[in-house]
Amino acid sequence: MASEKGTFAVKVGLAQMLKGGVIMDVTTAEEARIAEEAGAVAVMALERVPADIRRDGGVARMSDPHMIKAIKAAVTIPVMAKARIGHFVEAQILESLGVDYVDESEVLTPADEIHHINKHNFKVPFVCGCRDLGEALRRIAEGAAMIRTKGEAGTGNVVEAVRHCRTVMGAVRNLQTMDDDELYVYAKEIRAPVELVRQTKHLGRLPVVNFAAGGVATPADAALMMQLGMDGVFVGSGIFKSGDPASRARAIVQAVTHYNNPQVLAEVSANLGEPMVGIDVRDKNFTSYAQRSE
Amino acid sequence: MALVAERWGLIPELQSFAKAGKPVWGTCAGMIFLAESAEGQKKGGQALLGGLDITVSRNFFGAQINSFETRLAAPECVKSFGSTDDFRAVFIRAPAVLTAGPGVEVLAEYPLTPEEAAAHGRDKVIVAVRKGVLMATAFHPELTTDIRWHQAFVDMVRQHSQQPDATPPPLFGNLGRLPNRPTDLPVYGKAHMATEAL
Repeated sequence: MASEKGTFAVKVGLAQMLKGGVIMDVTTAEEARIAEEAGAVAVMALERVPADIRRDGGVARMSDPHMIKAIKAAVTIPVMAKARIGHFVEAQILESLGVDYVDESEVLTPADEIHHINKHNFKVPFVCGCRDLGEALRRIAEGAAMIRTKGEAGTGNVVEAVRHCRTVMGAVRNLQTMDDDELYVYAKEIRAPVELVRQTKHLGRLPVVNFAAGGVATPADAALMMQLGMDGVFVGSGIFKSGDPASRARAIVQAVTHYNNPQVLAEVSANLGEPMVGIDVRDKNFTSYAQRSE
Repeated sequence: MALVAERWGLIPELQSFAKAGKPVWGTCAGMIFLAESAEGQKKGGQALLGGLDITVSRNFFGAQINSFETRLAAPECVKSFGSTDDFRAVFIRAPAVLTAGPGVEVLAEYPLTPEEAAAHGRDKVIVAVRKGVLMATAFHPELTTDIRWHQAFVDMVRQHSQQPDATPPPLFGNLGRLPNRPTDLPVYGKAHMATEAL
């Protein structure tokens, strides 16, 4: 019996092994080691964390392969990296580097404003952002093996991640009350394939692992997302833009493990130094990354 | 996994559980956890429970793009619960057993592809072992609908508790469904995104 690489079961399987864990943005091998020692289940290798991408402006692209290789060599946990939305050549490069997951991310400047990458063409699995159920199921139809909320990366403000999480979870709950006969029109309304809508209804959840992302900055934020029903948490700028990254990274890992235990949360939230500076998403100069794709 | 276990004092608890002769089954990272020695660890190493006299290679097959699924010949203890001689094995950034000490029963082996064989200088690796009441598998039986490995483990527990004929207590209807948590994911078949029939 010949073995087969990159099947959907294998792609979703890796994400399942990450459930209940924290994935951290890192920009150097040293940061990756701090994340690994803190107990991160994976790291996201990128040149600039989202907070710096916001500050610097300009076009944000895939990271330098040299940097990704250095991070891969430094740690034994899975290494993820970001490709621009629709930029399938960046994804091909990341796949050839042997990254373990590709994030087709709205945090980078989109390369295609209409089409996402056809993720079925790859052996490497993909994670994609969403704001609602329709968007999540469209990404899964394109081959995404893991979903995350978009939130608003680089803001240190959890409000949008909560909004997207509540929107998806609420839609799944509504779906479960619907008659099967009503799914065709509902699928049309949310612009998602009816088969995936049906599967979601019967499972009572998204058919792939679903993480929170985009604005998680404190252990309490992370535990909030877990209590809302997410499978795990991405922390971007929140760790390495704070005063004491090693302590904060460790605290967020513990908060996700013990998300339902306020005593532990109180304990791990103490003495973490300055959190990252937050951005109010209602400020009139605010640029939304979440609205860059649908 | 080991870091979190260490931080919350689980290592000595788990060790005394295993040392008391109670059955333990580790899959994938759990196999590494049960091994006496592991190659390819992170800088500074990791805590191991030990107990199984095997040397494992962490992440033997490489990055996620080398993760794979296949069908392997089933050992007698697994075969006896069904009608097929092989089973679906899903390997995800999986470890492999490089050497097994005396008395360690080899339950399954994976024949390496020519490229893998050339890279590692061997033509097969051990991927499932058992010694006494400790069992370890490099693949993930929990990700497929085939429950024969689970049945083999339950059987081991029954034999161990010297109640070979005991019937298990009835399952709760919501098994695996914690309050306020979403249900479990579907089991995906080998075909493109299709789920495996139960």
